[in-house]
Amino acid sequence: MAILNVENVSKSFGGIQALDDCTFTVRADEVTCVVGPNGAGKTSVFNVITGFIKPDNGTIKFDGQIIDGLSRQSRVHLGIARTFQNLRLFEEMSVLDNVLVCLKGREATNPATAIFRPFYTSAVMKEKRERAMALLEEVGIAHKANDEASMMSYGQKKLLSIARILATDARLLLLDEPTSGLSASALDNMVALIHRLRDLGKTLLVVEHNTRIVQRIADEVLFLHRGTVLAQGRPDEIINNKELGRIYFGEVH
Amino acid sequence: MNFFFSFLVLAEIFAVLALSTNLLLGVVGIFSVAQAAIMGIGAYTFAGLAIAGIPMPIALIAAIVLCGIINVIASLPSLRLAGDYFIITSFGIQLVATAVFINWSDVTGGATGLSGIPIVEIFGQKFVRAGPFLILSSIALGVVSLSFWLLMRAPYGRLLHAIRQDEIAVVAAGHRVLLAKVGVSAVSGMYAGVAGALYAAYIAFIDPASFDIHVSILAVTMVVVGGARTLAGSILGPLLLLAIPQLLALIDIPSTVVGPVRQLTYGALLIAFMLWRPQGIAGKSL
Repeated sequence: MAILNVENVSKSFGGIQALDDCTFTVRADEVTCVVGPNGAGKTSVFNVITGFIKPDNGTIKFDGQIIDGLSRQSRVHLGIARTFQNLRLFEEMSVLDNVLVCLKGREATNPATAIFRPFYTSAVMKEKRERAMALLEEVGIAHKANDEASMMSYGQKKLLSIARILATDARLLLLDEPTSGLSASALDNMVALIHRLRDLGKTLLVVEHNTRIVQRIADEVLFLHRGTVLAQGRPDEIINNKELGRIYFGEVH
Repeated sequence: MNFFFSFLVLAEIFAVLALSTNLLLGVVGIFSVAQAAIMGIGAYTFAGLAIAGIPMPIALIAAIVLCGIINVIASLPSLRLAGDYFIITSFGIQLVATAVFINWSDVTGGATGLSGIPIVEIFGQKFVRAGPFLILSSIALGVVSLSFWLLMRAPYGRLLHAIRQDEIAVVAAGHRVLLAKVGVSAVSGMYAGVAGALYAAYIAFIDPASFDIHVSILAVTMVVVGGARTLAGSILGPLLLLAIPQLLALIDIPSTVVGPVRQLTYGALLIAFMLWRPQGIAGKSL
């Protein structure tokens, strides 16, 4: 069953066509990898789905509902959350606080609750701290909970960025290059985490460059080129397609 | 002794103003040099209403509410303007406020100021000397400090720190940055309103020079020297900086140069702290 439908979405920045009549679907409870050469529009796809850029035309449906007019925050509340290529952690805060900030809850934006309902706030915080610890446990960095985020290794920072989007309770997770720059062991760790998240009932859309990793994690592959979907299918079909291979490795233009 | 109490009362009033500045500048990262203007609005509102015979608790509440609202409006440009640009905007707000204080003479008394602000009286007890007034200013600082502490420990405080570090990431977590900023601006404005009303009630005379750009910069200096983001920093900063003029009075220098020497000392302190101790005495670096 499709959880996300992107239909005829286009976006141009000045003279550059970032997305050109882009159409694809993401099936629920699967890992869909987005591949394609640099500048193919992978990050632009993430930006239109999460509302960070408004498409010039086209429609996006999440769980059957049209989300075109929704704010970035409303999309998170509906169940779509993303990571960033440059992670965007709150570097000066503790690992635990990074997750706490991203937990759902209206009281977070209300100063009156903090001042006039101190005991309620204490109770909420205790609950949130337990939930945040459970999420850190899930991604495997619970032992770092009280360290400052800036002190962590790159691999651990990537795990933290995933714990943060899990805190939003989203069902559709958009991961922007989760495995890039990781050591071999951190990479295995990340692949295992992605499998685990899928087994937990999350749907994942993952930007991934390495075809070996695509084969390890993908149920479905989306091949983007010049802002348009050139092919969508099972990993073997896409990876063994010689024409796509030539485009990907830059032999023809 | 009265002299020492008077110093403490002023330090406490400025600690309230420093907490107002700290919330914006230190915690959420809105660099405002207009907090003295907001304090001035609180002082004039309180003084005007008190002179008109309105009961003081009502005058105090009116000052607090008005300052909260005006500070939200004054901070709105920070939603569009990134970081440094807002300094210029708030500088403009400060200049406009001072111009209004000077020229709207029917209400503010113009450049000569407002005198004849009634003495605070509670249950027949008159708070005219520094000693008794210290009780009032301590209660006010206590309440403001408690609310600051409650804010900082709550999820809301964490959200404010997060906004300072990366607004986009906060949006991506599904939180509404606008709402959080409006809330913190309101609280900061209310603190400045408390400081203004206390100042008017204590000095019993206010003029535009009491709330000009120098006072705003003094508040920023207090936060930087004391230490940004922490409660202790906003209390230590005013104590230290207001002690300087008192210490200068002990040195035998001509009275005409006392003012400039004081400004010089403030400036030198600000530079020295920025160079060698950016985190202030008890805080974090900006």
